[in-house]
Amino acid sequence: MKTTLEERLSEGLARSATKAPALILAVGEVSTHVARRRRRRSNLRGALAVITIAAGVGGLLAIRATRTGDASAPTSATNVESPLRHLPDATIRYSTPTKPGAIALELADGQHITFAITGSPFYDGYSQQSTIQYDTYATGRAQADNVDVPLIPEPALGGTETLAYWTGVPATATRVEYIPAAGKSVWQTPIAGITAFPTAAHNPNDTFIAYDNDGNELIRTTWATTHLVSSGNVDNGPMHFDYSSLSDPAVDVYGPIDVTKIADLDRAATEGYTTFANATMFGCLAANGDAAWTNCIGTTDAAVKTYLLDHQPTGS
Amino acid sequence: MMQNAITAAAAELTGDDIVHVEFARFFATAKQPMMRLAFLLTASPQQSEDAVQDSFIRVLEKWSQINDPASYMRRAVVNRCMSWHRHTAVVRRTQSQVATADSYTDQPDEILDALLHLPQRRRAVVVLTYYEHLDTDAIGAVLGISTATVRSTLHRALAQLKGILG
Repeated sequence: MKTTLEERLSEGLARSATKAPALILAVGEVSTHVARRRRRRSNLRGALAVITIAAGVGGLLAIRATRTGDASAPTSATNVESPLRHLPDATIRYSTPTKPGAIALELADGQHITFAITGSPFYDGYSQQSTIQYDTYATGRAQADNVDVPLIPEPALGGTETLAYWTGVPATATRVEYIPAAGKSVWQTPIAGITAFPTAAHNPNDTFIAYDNDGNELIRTTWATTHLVSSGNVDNGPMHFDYSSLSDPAVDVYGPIDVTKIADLDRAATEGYTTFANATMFGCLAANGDAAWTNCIGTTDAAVKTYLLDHQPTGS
Repeated sequence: MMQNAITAAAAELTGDDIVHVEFARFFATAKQPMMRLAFLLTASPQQSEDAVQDSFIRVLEKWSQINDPASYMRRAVVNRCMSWHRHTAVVRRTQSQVATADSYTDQPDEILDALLHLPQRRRAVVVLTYYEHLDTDAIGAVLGISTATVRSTLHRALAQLKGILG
């Protein structure tokens, strides 16, 4: 039986939804946009085809022969590699303070995914976050301020509808197979405990399997479950899903969050506060070196709290 | 009438044209429900339109690979609406204020206002539960979280809303 609150929500949401504006978009515009994108990709594929032909059929056969003899290659004939490439550090450019050790990877489709610990204003203070950026997506998970957070704080699955990744892959794994719920399996050699696969239709039932160098299965996992298949020094702790949302984990880390200090700031005041916060963090790192990252987070947090107390709107 | 015209035209078409006819039918039926869903998640007409437009483009690009376009579309819209709130807490806070100021109507809306106080995942779970009327399994599939997490998130969201709405 519904409570009064649930009834209010059902009725209120239905009423609020009617206030949504009409979509000012014709189906033809969608088609045109997609066609334009496909033409760009087609042009790129054409250029690649020329290069491939120039390489010669013999060369391709030689590559295939080499692959067949690769001990780490999968045994399934339908299972092909989805390569992952480690990009140079210069690829990573963040406008906010970034802890040394960030990693940028190039996926099979040419997209980049970056993993970093960054500093950021966080409610009434300053915090460090584990951040992942891919295409137009970015996700952050707040971390405790007073600890040296590793780049991959804990094993996690995540992604968007066009990306599936697994961070914290066991160090002994030399190959990870990704089995989409719909589509063909692909495999990849993890880099720094990370695997990331472009996917056509992300699904919670997608499966990852990690193998060691001898082809033994170490871990098999889907979005909701992790199953340790063989014994060994593999951490079989619970795996969280990192699809989005730093809000709930943030509550887990910080407890109830105080929003009162920023609740009444207008846009200009908010920009002033964020500029001050990042400038303070950059200044601390410049003065003390990157090794002082964790201390700088702490001192910046304290400075931001003081700044906010001194910059509350009159009458608030 | 429009549906019949589209169906008749499809009889003479093949290949990509068929895809576009199928997509046009899907577009016609899904666009306003998706706008409403996006509006409840963002409270911003502009962000709703951007999210829905981007999602339709993605759906058409993947059309031949998608078994259930409606589910894919819903997931894409929710994901885009949530990514809008994603970056940092401060950015989220600022955007929520902007969204309130720019909202489609000047009339007070206690439910929409209350939703803006919820963290993004809680807001999504509430909207998917009480507007889309999805069960916990379906919500878990949309958000990519377990059903247990859906239940606990909904529990927290209701507790928070109770405090706000009284």
